[in-house]
Amino acid sequence: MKYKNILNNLRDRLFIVIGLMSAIVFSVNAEIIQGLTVTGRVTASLDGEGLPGVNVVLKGSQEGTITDISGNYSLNVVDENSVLVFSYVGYNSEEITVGSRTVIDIEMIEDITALSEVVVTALGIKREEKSLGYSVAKVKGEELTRVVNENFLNSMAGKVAGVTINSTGAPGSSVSIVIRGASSLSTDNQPLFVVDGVPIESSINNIGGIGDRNQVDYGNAISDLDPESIESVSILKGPSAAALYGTRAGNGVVIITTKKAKKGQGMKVTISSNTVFDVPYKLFDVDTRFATGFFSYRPENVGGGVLPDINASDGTGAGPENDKGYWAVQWDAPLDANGQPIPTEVVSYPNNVRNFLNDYGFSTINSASVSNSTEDLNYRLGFTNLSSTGLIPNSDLYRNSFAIAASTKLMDKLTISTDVNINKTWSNNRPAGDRGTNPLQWAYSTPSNIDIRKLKDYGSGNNIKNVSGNHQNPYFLANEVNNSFTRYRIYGNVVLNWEISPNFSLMGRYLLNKSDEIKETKIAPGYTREPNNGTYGIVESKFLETNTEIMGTYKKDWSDFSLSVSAGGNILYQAGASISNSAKNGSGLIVPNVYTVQNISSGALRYRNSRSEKAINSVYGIANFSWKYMLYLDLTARNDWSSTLPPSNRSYFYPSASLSFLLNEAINLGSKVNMLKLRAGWAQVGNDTGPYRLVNTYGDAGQWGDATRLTKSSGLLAPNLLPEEATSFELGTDIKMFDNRLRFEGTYYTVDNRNQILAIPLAASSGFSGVQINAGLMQSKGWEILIGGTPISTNNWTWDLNLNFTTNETVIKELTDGVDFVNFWSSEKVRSIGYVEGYVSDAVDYGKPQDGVVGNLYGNPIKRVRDESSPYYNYPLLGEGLDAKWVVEDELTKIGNFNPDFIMGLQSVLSYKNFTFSMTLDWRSGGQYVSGTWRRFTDAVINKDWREQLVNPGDLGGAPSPELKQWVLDNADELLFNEYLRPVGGPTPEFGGFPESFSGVEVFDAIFAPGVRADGEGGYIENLGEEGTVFLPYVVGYPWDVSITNLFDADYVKLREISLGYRLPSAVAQKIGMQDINISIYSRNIILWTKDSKFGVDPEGAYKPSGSGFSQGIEFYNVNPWVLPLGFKLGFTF
Amino acid sequence: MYIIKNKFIILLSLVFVFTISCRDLDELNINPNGVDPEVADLNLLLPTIITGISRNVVNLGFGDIAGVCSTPKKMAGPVVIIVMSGVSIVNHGPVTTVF
Repeated sequence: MKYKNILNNLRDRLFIVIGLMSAIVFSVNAEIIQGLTVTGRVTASLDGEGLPGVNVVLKGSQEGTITDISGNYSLNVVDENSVLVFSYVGYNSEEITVGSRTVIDIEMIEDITALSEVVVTALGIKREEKSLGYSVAKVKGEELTRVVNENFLNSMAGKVAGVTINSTGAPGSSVSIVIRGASSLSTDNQPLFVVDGVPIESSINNIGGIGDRNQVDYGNAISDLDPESIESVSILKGPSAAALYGTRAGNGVVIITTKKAKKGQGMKVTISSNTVFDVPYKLFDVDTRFATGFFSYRPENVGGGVLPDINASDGTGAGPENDKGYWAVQWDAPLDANGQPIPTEVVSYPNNVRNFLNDYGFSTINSASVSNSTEDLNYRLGFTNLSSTGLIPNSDLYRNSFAIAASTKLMDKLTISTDVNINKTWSNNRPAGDRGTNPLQWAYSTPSNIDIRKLKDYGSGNNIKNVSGNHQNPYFLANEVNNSFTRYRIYGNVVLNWEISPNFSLMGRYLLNKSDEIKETKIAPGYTREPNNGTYGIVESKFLETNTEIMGTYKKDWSDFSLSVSAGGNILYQAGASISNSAKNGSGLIVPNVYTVQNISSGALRYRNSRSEKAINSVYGIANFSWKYMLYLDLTARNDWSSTLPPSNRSYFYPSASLSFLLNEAINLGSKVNMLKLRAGWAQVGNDTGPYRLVNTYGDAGQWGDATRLTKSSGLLAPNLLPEEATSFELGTDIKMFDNRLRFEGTYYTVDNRNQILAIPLAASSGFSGVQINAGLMQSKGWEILIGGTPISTNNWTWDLNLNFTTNETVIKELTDGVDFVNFWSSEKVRSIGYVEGYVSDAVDYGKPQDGVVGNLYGNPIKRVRDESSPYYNYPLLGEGLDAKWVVEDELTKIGNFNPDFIMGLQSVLSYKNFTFSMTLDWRSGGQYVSGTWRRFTDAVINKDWREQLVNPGDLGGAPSPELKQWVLDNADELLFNEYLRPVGGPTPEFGGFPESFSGVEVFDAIFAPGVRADGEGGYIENLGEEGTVFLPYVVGYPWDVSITNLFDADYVKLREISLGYRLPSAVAQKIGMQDINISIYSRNIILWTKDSKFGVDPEGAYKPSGSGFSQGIEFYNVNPWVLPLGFKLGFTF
Repeated sequence: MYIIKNKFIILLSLVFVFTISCRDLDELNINPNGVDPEVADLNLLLPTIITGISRNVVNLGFGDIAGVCSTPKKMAGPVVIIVMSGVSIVNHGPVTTVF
């Protein structure tokens, strides 16, 4: 009996807690007045199950109760005219007059829009969205798993305003997410991820690979997350939202809540299975019309018969035309009785790359979870397995995730809960990107007249089958260059919650994030850049972060005014260590195929390790005031003490304030307006720096004989470094109308990022190459707009549409004295430079002031006649000899910017009865990228796009003539004055090719570049097609130095998701003992349209791994096929 | 029963208190991966300079100005240091105090 009392007591208290979480506090000690007792049961309209924790209040009083675990309640009311108000977060409130009834059962209807109104904000605090003075984007877990992606970030693309998500390559590659534009010059601008309170940093810098030109992206930390275990994602976009996270919140925060057992749900088993086939449908357009070679011989050029030998080693695609019935001695030619190679027909193998690739990439994600909620214990156990094989042979990715979430009451008022996630992510081989060991590079580079399948049996040891010494065998690279990794990650929390009184609660928690990663590279003998038996290396890195946190919260409601104050402290500790053992580039192994460190000779062994530690101690406070449910004010303050900063600068204070005003509560806007909110927020946050960035230590340069050698770094560090400081301001409005069927959110923000940590160059005479300083001011401004509507909402049909729009521009307002620009990267004759706004130099844009926009791309313009008095003014000024084509000036001009002008996402969900059809479109407009692949394939003359752009002079081809010159002049706008100049002529007479002679053989495969040449005396020689024009073989026609030629507009539209799902009617499901059965088919990430990338590059992949990070805006052999995925999903709940 | 619960709370609080201990922020930022300049024997920088310069000179000998310096590789270091130490001073700034 006593036991039962305790249990009942416990149950009552439990409901108090639930009541508190519903943000409305009532006293359960309902005074018994007089009159009747009403009892009843509250159920959810969706599933008819009892709803626990619903507030039942007597209208106009403070009297009320909360429903129990099965939804039952009992309440004393005054008389028959009493009105009961039933309210529950996520459901429409109901008001019911008691009348003569004593039993009132009601069904509560889920409020679709209200459900999303509760958002998780900083420190995991759940808030009603209307009370927030800043913009928080939220994505529900079902949105992330409707169409499953290996990395959950990919599932958010197109769904959230203010966020730019870019996949850097094929599945398993790093995914970049930048919130409200890049605001830091020295970091990769990735936000902080917080999973169940556990902060996880996810830099896009996990690039490795041992050996010469073997660069591998192992994927960033956040790719370890299991999408199936995510309940919801909140994105705290601006510092206002994120200020409570202090130091690391400068780039925004992504808060992820994992799935937990819901109170009162009972035993539930969920199983889901996803399978997706990635079918390639478009590859880079390599030119397969011409065989390899320097000259496009035809039989008539060589007196008929067999053509000169075709040598694959030429490495170019400007040889004889394929499929014309020509014969020549080619690679792997059969031998006659005398051992002489026999000519074979020159034919093309247009499907070489397709034949090299697997037929399809294959991913399967299977997930099972058990959850239960009893009075004593809530728990959820989940397991997910991902297996994926890529399109490139022998590439794969696996992940096992195990998640447990549990909570129980230690005592009446003391709850303990935990979330633990254990992941293992591994791969036997991640294919290399960039150039070198990238199998795709060499599959594309295989000469078109050679069947790639002949290379499949690639041999072994020193007898790797290669078409020439200048080529690599793609099959060998795919199978014998193995970049494997295994990464274990454990993250989780233990949380104690003590509800000391209805008004006061205390929370203490311990958070852990630990990862261990081993990366190994094994290269077998045969890679020409590792000629000594291949190579081997192993890198192990460990990382640990712990946070210990205590927070007290006091809440009090008065009639018009309510207050919630929290104060807390946090101790963060990070430790990292890595050890690396490998052979030096090119040094190789002693014995082939033995991949151990001891098989590297001591002189060739490169070994190193390092450790680092960091801690941040913090205290913080939050105060939320609300007045008449109309005006909400949030104030936060945080002070951090970071170990990475000098003692005098170590303490940092981050304040924020935000205000939300509900105009519809203040004045009557009529029944059509459900909500009209005005909001404003201001905040300051910062970025500290890495450990050991204050004082240089001497490094060990290794022994020289017996002498110990120390080295001093050439870069200076500043002992007085400050953290970067971002100050943001945002203004916005949220409007909901017509029963929430029309929704609008608009936000304008500015972020001023000061004290950028920059490395600035120093004069060599100082003895140092550069110094790290705090300087500068970067200003980001942007708009985020979200328009949502429910045009159709009937019993059977619902159609939801959401459109989001994002723009951002970041300008460098100030740097420091003597430093006018920051170099981001320089590659493929294009440079990404950040000039300070207003910078003027004759060497840049001919003295035009710079706009200072981050992401600007610069290149050298085509050299032209600058003398305005010359009749050839503005004609291209060509080089000499084999360079009698376009050359460039020394000055730089702005040629583009890698950031899009705007991003627009459209989401549509149409449901009819149990069918749901949904899709997400993502449109990036504006912005440019450099295609290194395009450039290098053009230089190798295997780029079809380039060949198709050659200018065909028609009948005027074949010989120089005055008519040709006239024709050039008639088309001067296109051929001379255009920015994008193309040669006239082509590889055969059909293209209007001009004659050129090579060792006595005249071949009609020449082109010429219209323009003028300097005569050396200040005058000009015409190169317009008349006699005297320099004709160059097609093979050297590409102007290697002209950056604008390989710059493309990055605009694209992608169909991020499309899915058709069917949910079995619950009656049917229940008949077979299930709660829920759903099936769907889907596809994802289909490139629908590109403005300028029809040749087969995905503009989204314009990220080049460089050193330990990525250069944005440049695509370099990142030529993964465009795929048409086909996916199936099956889910059961019972 | 309540006594047990109270003990439990006390125990739990103790565990919590012990896990919380502010880190010494000064100690943490001492780089363990290199030699602290405050305690380093600066003389140990000299061999690096000597070997670095001699290596450069040897490379010059085999490369750009082949023939100017035909000293065998092993010999090059000690011979050249005397001639070239001036240059090294310029290139290594604060280390000049050593000389």
